[in-house]
Amino acid sequence: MKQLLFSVIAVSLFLSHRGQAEMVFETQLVEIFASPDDEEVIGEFPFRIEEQEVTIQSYDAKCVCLAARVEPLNPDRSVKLNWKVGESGKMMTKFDVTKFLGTVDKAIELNVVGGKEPIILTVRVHVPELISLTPTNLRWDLGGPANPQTMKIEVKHQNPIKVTNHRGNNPKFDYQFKTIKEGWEYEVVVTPRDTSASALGMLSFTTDCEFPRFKRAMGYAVIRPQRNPSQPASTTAPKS
Amino acid sequence: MRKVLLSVVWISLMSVAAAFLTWMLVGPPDRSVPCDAQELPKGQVCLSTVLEWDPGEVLWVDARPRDYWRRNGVEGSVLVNDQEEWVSMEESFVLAVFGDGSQLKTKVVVYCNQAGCGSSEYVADRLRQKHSEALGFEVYVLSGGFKALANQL
Repeated sequence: MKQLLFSVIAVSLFLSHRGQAEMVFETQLVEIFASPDDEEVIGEFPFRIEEQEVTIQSYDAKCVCLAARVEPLNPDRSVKLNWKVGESGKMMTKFDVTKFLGTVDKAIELNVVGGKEPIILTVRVHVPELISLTPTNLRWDLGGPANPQTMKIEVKHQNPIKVTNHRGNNPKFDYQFKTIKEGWEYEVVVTPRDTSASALGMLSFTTDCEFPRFKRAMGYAVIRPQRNPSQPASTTAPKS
Repeated sequence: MRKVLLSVVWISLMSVAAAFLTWMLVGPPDRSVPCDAQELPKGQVCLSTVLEWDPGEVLWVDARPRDYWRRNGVEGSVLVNDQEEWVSMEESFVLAVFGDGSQLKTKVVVYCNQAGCGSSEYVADRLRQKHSEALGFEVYVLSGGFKALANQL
């Protein structure tokens, strides 16, 4: 029994000692500003090993869009999992940004043997939106005045992007498309025929943009009841 | 050495017996994902809170890949993820929020594969920024992601 107790204590001490492993990253957040035609961007997280050798247990990108690899590799091209004090390397990430717009964060979770918490490495990518609709939605109160409202379309790119086609899907909304400056600025004035019933209209705009993700843009027009201020949408929301 | 081995076998047998007894007396283990509404970051919600809401007001948004959504997405959910063309998914989402216009969804709950996958936060942020005010809904990210749902639905 004494031998068993001794073994348990020895294993516990070994594990707690391994918990001191130090993999020190220069930064745990890499921010990248992508250009509109970027399909993928690369992020690097340099690190060095201090005080205690480190064994990498696993690393996992929580998105199919993000691939990760520790560099340098072993001489036989296998992944280097055991790192000695004084060595340095980097976690390389390749981020497929073809489907993203705006700002997006994706993380790599890195676990080392004996580490109490996973190390989180975040790649933050800013993908520019070349076409903006302001506002994206036009809203009228049910039973309220059916006044015209305007949606602005602006091109935020170094080259012009023309709106080549536009279409509304609901005859309850009349709309007028105006070119303010071809390739750069447009306006859409929308007027509901009446506001006696809830309605949803979709306005679709097709462009000549060379990048597929900006070939189509959508705006919305909605007639809906005004929300009763005494009954907010969330009465059981978690505290902030 | 023989003594140690015997001890290990003995302890293992006792552990199995204790586990079996616990199972018989207390029941199977609780696999629900723990969630404390008071401790959640802004914009997240516990499943228990969502289940208290009127189901007619809630729209579930599945931020996982399409295959997962098809396989076991919440009934009535719409697919809005960060892996496909945004404009088409957004269109389906707006149609689902509006419905036939008689009862708009006022609470949108986004879930992805697991806590911290990042997709649900991205989707929730975009829906919040672009549509929540005009369409009159609030957006939440489900704490624990699909793992929390899997034990309940």
